[in-house]
Amino acid sequence: MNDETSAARKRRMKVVVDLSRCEVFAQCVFASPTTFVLHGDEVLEYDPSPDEAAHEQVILAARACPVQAISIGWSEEPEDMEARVP
Amino acid sequence: MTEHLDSRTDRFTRGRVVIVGASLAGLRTAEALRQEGFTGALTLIGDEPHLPYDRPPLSKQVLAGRLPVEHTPLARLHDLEASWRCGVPAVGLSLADGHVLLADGQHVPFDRLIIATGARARPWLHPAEAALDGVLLLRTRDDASRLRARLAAGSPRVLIIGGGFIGAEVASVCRALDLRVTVVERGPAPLAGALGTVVGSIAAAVQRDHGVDLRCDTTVTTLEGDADGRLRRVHLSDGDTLDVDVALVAIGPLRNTEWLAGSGLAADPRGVVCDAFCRAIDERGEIQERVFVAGDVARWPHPLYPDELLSVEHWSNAVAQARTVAQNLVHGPAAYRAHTHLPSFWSHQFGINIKSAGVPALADQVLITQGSVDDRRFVAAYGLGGRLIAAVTFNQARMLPVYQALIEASAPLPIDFKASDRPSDTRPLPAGFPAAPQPSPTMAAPTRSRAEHAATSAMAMEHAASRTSLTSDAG
Amino acid sequence: MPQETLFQESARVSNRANPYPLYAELRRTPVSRESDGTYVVSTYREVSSLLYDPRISADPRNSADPPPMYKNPNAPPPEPSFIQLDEPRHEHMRRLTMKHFGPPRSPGRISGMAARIGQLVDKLLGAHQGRQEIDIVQDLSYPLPVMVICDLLGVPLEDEPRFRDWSDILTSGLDPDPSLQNDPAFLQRIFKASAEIRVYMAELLKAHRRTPNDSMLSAFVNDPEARAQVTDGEFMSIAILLLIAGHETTVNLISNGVLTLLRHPDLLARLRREPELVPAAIEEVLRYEPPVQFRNRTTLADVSVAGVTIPKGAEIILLIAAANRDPLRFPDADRFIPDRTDNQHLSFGSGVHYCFGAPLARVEAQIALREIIRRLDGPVLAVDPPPYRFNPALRGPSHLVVNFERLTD
Ligand SMILES: Cc1cc2nc3c(=O)[nH]c(=O)nc-3n(C[C@H](O)[C@H](O)[C@H](O)COP(=O)(O)OP(=O)(O)OC[C@H]3O[C@@H](n4cnc5c(N)ncnc54)[C@H](O)[C@@H]3O)c2cc1C
Ligand code: HEM
Ligand code: SF4
Repeated sequence: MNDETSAARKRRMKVVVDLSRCEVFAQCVFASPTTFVLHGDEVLEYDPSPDEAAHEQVILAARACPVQAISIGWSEEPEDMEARVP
Repeated sequence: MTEHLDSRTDRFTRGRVVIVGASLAGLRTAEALRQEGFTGALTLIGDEPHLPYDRPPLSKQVLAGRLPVEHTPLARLHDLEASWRCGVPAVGLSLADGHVLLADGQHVPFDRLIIATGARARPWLHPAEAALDGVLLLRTRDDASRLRARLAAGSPRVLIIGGGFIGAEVASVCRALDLRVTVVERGPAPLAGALGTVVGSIAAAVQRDHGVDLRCDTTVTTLEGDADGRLRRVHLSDGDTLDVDVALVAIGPLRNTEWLAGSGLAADPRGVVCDAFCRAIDERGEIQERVFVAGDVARWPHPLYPDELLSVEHWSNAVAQARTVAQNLVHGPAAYRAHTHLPSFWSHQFGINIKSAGVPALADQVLITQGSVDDRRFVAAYGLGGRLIAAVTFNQARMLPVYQALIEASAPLPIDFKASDRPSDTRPLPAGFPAAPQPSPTMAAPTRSRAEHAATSAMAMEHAASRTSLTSDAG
Repeated sequence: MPQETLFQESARVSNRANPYPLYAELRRTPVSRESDGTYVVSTYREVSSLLYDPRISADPRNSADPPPMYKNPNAPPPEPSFIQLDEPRHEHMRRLTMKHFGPPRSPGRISGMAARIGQLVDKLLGAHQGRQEIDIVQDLSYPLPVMVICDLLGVPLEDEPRFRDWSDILTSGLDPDPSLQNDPAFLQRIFKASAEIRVYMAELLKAHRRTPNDSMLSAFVNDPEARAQVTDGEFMSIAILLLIAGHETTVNLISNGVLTLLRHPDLLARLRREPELVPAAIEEVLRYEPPVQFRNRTTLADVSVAGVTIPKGAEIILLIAAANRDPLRFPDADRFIPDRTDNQHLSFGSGVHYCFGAPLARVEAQIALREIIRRLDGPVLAVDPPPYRFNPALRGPSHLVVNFERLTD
């Protein structure tokens, strides 16, 4: 059994876009072109685990989204996470 | 049971909540429970050896090699303080004793249970052929890694069995990687099970434009292996034989409900029946007040589609249903809200953003209302009995909200917007859903079971309607 | 003279400093038919849904009462730029223009301008070293967007005095005041400015064809894909749109931001301590004091909204600034809350015409406001309310004199 509270909490920024909501205004791509990418005119892809260097931009991207489709959360470091799985 | 109710508010805030299925719906329900003020013990049980991750990228960026699979774990949006049981499946449920039985023999007791066990990929029907090296499925992170490794290694020809969304997305990735790919679709067009043959045939043209060897009205008769058990050849019903070393079986989902066998709940490979408030219904048609259902595994009644129980495989439904379940679980009957989220999904394939709102598969008519099919930028409106029930956009995401509002208002069809970009021909056509559907988003049972009857009974729906605010989750 | 409508009253100069009480009155009827036949839409839900609605046209040629430019008996109206086009031509033109401005083709162009914008702000503020007074509008929030858009587009900054006048006159065409719209002298000035700026732009675009540089206009007018599909008249109209929309709006955002913060010293102090809140605060400035107060549209079919059927061919005013203060959408809507979380304002529009330049405006405002907040010690407003620009559609102060103790580094 894994108890989340006892695990080391090494947090890492994670981002999630509700692509059902997204209307591809690409404001996030302008704000953080390394995390959000347009493939073609209307296909938005993003890196859910952005690099530390992009974190500030990702926050701006979430702010700029005209339909509030971007949420910012966190996760544990992958190593910890896998280690905690029996 | 009542000992855990907050005596002042009648809210369920303490007690023990167990969630079975630790993926999108399970995680978001857990978070929403905390947000709603649940402070009791929270346990998530998942059979996968990973913490929750996001599936949509698996058939897109991950497969194309643009996103490492390690980047797919889902964001935590709220503190959980939960116990996780990862890598161990639930194998039984006792409603009478209020516990879940795990494969390792443990009993996990609950005061409230949430069923969020989702679906899995339907395996190839012939076990021996399915076991061949190179015959793959795509549902999990590990599936994606396996398929990715095959594609990255290069393949003389990839075979995709099934022209649904996952098949089409994988075909798109194969072409982007410049791999030869054959899609074998039993029906008349790809995506036809979900979008009908009118739009499906547009999808077929898109695939062929991109160099996919698309074979409709065709089935795989045999998958043939070599002496070492490696896939090497496929025989098709059109008489053709192709040399392939990778075959993706993408013939639809099966809901993960086996663990509920014998529990008394109305559960089968189509899902678990629940009422409009997402409470599970048992085989006798009785509502189980302590058991809720969310995500791909749920079959629930929707006021806009009164004759059906909906079951979808849509990311946004898992998220929205998680919120409904948490709200109803915590705040109790006096504050119940019906799950009236309008089904919607997206798919990325061949550089096109396909979006859908409503349930196209229930339609009898379809018409192109805006844009140009030739430019692959258009809106298709779907109707049933003269009412708008769904809309699909190809690279026209910004047009969808208008249609969403009209669907929620059951606007009459045909609609004539006099839109500046309406095509010259806006006559409705038969939507063209195959008579014997591929596993489609909804399947009405030929005869209603007691549970299905209970879920959609006039009384239940009326009750739900009184708690319906169609725009409640718009914001 | 017909009686002034509530909307016309809200647009009157005497109400420029605070039109919001009148907007609140307008919101009591979400869709109201004014005595001149115009429909004014003032509530969030309705404005938002009409911005998306394909039955609503942005093309003035569909309107019974088109803007001044279309009333010149002596010259055909200029080709519309995409802000005045409907689908599919709108999307087509917008995409060809976007190719040289943002994603998918030029994703890093705007974020790449941040350093340059920082230098410009530094220079503009630095000029006030040793002084204790600054006119935020004239010394910063006007020159900055002008310099930036000139830089981006490849318009010589020395031409600013010429296009300043044209731009002023052309944007006054957005004024709904009937006494202006029916004044022949006013119309003549608009026709003249329009003709002159087009001659100017034609020359400039020719120069970019002769000697291309790395500016956006050079790339645009020399792009073979665009050249195959965009007429020279359209190139001109688009370039003029970018030039005017690129600075007449951003100036208001920066000025309104400074004004609002100086009216809330506690919040200003907080932002000084927590500069990471500036981007959120700018979104709130956009909601609270929108640089573009309203937009015009017309109907292609009868459209029912909020129980009112707007007939085909009617003039519609989408009152963005009123929608942004709709208490049904925003709790405490009349309060300025810089860290408001659910802030889906309509200040950049919505739907297919969503502001093309929003990412640039945001970068400019973020840098400018951050630096003003950081560097001005003890700033206070010299005059409150400040004098406003004449234009009710593009609403913002014309001068914003601020006294301060010291300019820090
Ligand atoms: C490749 C792929 C691409 C997709 N793309 C899109 C898309 O583009 N757009 C879109 O809208 N949707 C898409 N989807 C669908 C979307 O991912 C699903 O709707 C979503 O994952 C549903 O979440 P869920 O939690 O209900 O179910 P699931 O994600 O299926 O999670 C159920 C979990 O329960 C576990 N489980 C099952 N049985 C047991 C048991 N007995 N004990 C313990 N645990 C158990 C499962 O292993 C799984 O982890 C895609 C799905 C896939 C597979
Ligand atoms: C704070 C600054 C700005 C504000 C508030 C603003 C506001 C708006 C609004 C409300 C619209 C929608 C018009 C409509 O729907 O009718 C719009 C469109 C537009 N804006 Fe902006 N804008 C700003 C800055 C800019 C900048 C810097 C540029 C140029 C680089 C620009 C270029 C445009 C263009 C070209 C359009 C037309 C888009 C289309 O029709 O598709 N704007 N703007
Ligand atoms: S800014 Fe929002 S709507 Fe636009 S592409 Fe990004 S997520 Fe989608």
